[in-house]
Amino acid sequence: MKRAADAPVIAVKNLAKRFKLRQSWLKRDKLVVRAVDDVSFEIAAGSTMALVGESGCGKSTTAKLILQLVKPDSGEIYLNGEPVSEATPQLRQKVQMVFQDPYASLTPHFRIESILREPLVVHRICPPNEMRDRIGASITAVGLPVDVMSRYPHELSGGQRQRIGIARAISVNPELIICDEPVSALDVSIRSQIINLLLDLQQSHNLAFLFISHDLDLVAHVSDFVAVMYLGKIVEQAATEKFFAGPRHPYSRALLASSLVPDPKKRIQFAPLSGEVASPTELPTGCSFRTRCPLAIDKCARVEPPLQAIGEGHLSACHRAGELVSSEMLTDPSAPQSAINPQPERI
Amino acid sequence: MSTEPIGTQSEKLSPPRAIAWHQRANPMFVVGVLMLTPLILMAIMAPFLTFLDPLSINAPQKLLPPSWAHPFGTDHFGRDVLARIVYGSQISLRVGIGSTILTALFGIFLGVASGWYHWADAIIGRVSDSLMIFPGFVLAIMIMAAIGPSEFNVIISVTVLYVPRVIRTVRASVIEFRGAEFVEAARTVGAGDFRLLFLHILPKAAGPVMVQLSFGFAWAILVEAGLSFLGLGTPPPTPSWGSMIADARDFIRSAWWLITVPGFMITLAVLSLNLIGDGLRDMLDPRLQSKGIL
Amino acid sequence: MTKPALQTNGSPGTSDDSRAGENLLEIVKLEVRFPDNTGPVTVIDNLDITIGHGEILGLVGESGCGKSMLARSILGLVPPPGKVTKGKIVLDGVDLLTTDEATMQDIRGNKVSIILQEPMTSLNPVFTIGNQMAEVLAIHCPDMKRRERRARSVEMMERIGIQYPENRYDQYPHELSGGIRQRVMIAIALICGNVRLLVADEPTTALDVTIQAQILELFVKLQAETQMALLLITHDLGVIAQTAHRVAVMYAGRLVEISDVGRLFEKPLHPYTRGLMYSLPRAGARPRKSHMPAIPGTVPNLADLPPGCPFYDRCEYRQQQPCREAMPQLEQVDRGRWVRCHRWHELPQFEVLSARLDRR
Repeated sequence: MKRAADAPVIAVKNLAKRFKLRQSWLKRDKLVVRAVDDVSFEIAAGSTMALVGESGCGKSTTAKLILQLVKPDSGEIYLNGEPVSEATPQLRQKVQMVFQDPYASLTPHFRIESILREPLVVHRICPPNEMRDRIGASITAVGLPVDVMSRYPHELSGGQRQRIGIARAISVNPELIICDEPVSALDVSIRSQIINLLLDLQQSHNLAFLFISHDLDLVAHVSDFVAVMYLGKIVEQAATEKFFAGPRHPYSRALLASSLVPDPKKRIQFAPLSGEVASPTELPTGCSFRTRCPLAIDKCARVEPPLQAIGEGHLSACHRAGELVSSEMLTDPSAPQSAINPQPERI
Repeated sequence: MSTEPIGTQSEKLSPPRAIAWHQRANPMFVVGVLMLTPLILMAIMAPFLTFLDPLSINAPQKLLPPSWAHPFGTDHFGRDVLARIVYGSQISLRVGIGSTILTALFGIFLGVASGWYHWADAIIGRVSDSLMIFPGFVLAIMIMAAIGPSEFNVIISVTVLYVPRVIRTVRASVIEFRGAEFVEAARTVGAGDFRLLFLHILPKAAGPVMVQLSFGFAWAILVEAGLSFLGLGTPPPTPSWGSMIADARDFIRSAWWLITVPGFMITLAVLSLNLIGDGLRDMLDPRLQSKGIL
Repeated sequence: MTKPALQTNGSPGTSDDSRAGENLLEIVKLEVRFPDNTGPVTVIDNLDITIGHGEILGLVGESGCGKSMLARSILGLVPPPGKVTKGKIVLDGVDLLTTDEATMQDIRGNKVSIILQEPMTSLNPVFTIGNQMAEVLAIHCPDMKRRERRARSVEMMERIGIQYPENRYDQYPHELSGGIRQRVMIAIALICGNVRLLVADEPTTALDVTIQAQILELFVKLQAETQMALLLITHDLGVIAQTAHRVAVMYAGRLVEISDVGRLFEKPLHPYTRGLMYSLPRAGARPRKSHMPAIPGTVPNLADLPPGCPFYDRCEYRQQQPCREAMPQLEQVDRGRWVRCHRWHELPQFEVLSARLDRR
């Protein structure tokens, strides 16, 4: 495949998707959910971009949009510099996915061999007589013995199944792997093994990763860039070191403060955020985070803050990002509390 | 990185086929099979079981009670009842097997279509719903009246009657699994609709469909007998269990064997297939464990 | 908003503490078995633990280690065909295993309550949440009038931090968010007002991080207010570090380490606990994208445990002699500290999470 010299493996520009929910067949008007709104990023070969956020923030929908499992309403996706608008065989080969649940993502009545054979057959990767060797090679590559080939998924442990999921993803020489919470369904003592495997494969195959996770400590370890999503929008985006050195959006700070440090000497004194995520069907005016934001001011209710550069390679969508330099601000109880906080919840 | 020991999880577990057998050899299933096997053997080995012609009329020997020469007696034309029962089983099984195959073919094809494509669902769903509002047997009579009595037409009418149930079963499985993560995973590696449907999804429906088909088989035998009883099924003189009962009506008081023997055979066939169906269902889904008769 | 006082009382099975006599719950030599084709599988083996009055005991372990089964045993809810085959569970002097079902029903939801991981599936979708709260009151306080029950439920919701409780009372579970549903579960568990022991099985695992922090804050607050004891079951060491007073670590159906939370995180003794702590991702603790220390292998199958120490196959410090030969006993190391390892005193110094590279 020809490739623009310096094009990133994947580039996403102003991606947007709204889902329409019909309340009931009697009502004509439909509820509109803003699933993904104006999301842009790019990932270069060999690097990892982490997509962080809470459930329903649009991170999984973003993955489905890239994979063309869901059609975007607007926006462009470029694979190696070339626009993608439908699920071409090339897209299906170059972009692979590792799923969260290794129990649900392997077809239960397929033997491991059939699971790994499928992508090779579909993409005509190799002649039939070399198939078995190739399958064996990808099993070995993920650290399993070749004899798992004849087994069924339910005979393997969670960690082993996730390795098979990874083997399936790398077997077709992809360039981008979307890892959707690849370890959160696994036992704690297995997680590091899988993370190490992913890191090894990234290095040896020069893979780009889109790493979807809610675990900021893990993200800090595996990623090169971080994008934080809230209600369908990216609210902060930066290189990992920069991000963890000083997040510049109150939501990122709250996420960071909410992650439970495994050290009893550093107990958080109170939950950093009160309230819950606003309903995606009835977004507040202005900034959608303002209903929970400890720093919200009047302007936040009127004007939606754009995602803009606040430092080199550091984007934030907050009117007060400029003030967010010291890390105390969020936890300081004397920080200005806006009159619109807490926003009355819809009953 | 380390290599995990393989198979530590469940060395003893048997491989899951598309159909997960939760229970070996349910007693209902076993009894059903034990009852059905002789019937099938009887149909296959008909020429060896009796040397008498089921069609040869022998007026002097009419209405003889069971004896060594005629274990089940003779009918009002002097034909051997055993021979007629044995050859009649061929008809019942032909109709049953024929309609089951047709039902499976159409049911799976249309069920897959309506589970997968919304537009197809609208059409197929309406048609099959409207077929299901008729009482089954009444519909069968209507179809037979329209297309005329013959063995093949019986197969067709049974198929039309039963196919909506199979469509529903297949459609439900397709809808259940089309959003499953393993289907999505297969799609992301490039599998097309055909692969997804026939390799990943349909095997999951195999169990429920088999249950439906075994009930359908029983139904077919019953409907064939009923239609023949009314003179709408297999035309005479071919021996069909249903027409044998119809003929026997006039001799209920004088020749009890004429009506009891075919009646017993129909009961046996239908009961065995229902037991097989119930047994299969329990083996496939222990949660539905019915407190059956066994 | 003060940190919950660190309590270092308590002992696993034997008393070595002045407060030991005041233990709320004592579990002695508990054994739970499930029949299997090849014979019974022991899912909890010879387990001794106590919970003091007003104590938050964290129970850590991976899936299938028996931690949920322990919770169910306490409430007498081991799913058949499983059975408690040995031992005693003594709550305030009453052995729960020998009491009759009627007394047990009286205790459940009244003196001992349980909260499960998935708030959606533990609430009945066809009843309003108010209905489900009032039902508990109807069972345990039959003298209460309808109106009183409603008032009590609304008051409870308010205490648990649910806004607009009057309106919420008439809502159905599906109308609420995950965080509020979990709050409702807590309200249902505590509504009788005399809960002495609350068992919470992975109460925050299904929740988002910001909501998880809120719910944990609520647990700590309620525990301080009511002085009830809390058995907090989780796989997440972060949750334990943030809330527990004392921690018990389970592996393959057995307790492998018991300690107060401070000393456990400072100096874990069992190789499994150490492995877990090393393998936690910690922002900035080690070079980005470097290999993380990992515990090799998988959790052993309880139906087919190897002889000797169940952690043997995965242990970094194993020795054929004695680890393969004999099952280590839970031995007391210090006041309130217990460990099940032959070699705990020979292990190298535990380095507090720093740039420790993969042991490969």
